[in-house]
Amino acid sequence: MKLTRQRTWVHRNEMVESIVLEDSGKIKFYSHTYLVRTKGRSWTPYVKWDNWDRQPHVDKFDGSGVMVEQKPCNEKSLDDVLKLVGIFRKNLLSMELSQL
Amino acid sequence: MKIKIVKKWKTRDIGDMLAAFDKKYGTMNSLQQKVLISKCTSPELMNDYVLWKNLSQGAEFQDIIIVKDPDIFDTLSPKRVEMLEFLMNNEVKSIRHLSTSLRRNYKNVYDDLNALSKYGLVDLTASGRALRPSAAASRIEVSIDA
Repeated sequence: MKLTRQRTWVHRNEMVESIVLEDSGKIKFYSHTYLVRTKGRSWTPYVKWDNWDRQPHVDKFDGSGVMVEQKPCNEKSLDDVLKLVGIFRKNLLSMELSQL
Repeated sequence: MKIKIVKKWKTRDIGDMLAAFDKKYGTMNSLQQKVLISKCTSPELMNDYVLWKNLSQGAEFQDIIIVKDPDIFDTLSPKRVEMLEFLMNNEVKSIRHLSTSLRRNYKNVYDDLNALSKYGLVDLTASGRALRPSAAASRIEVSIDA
């Protein structure tokens, strides 16, 4: 088993935190969360992609850390997520989950 | 341009992380219940659970920080890089100890450590009443992608 945690700073106060668990080269679990640092210096999740319970889905939060929507989606690699975050960044909160 | 920071994790550090989970959540079962009840709506709970469960089962752990924010180059001044190199090669007991070793003003060293810690380049661990600085990275790579 190999566990990788990667934090990617995409901007001064924005980060993608990723946890990936691999077994013999196969990804068993992933979680990629786009977080924004608020004024209180704590990190607030905005959007999260994960496959908890082997159900790939995307979660959207309300900007204060409360989840407001959850939808199934295709499996997402960290590269896919970084590409999405790089393009849309803070607009992710106002986007339709089906677009993610 | 990006900076890749590979963080070193000694067996002792992983032990400290597991002990911190123990203190924060009590037992792994209680954390598992919280994750199930919350239906994985909390990324922190879910990630902590996956880390705790798999690290306690001996999973290999790799911790990486990638910085794509160009502002990091403001943070990495020559004095701070010198400090980082010193911390990668030496152990210090406190910020005072570090400032004495580097023959630099305490406040400037303190400010530099805070700036470096924002990107996870140094760890500041409480040691009695003092803060013990240590280099978080075992390797730092700077690359320019095509």
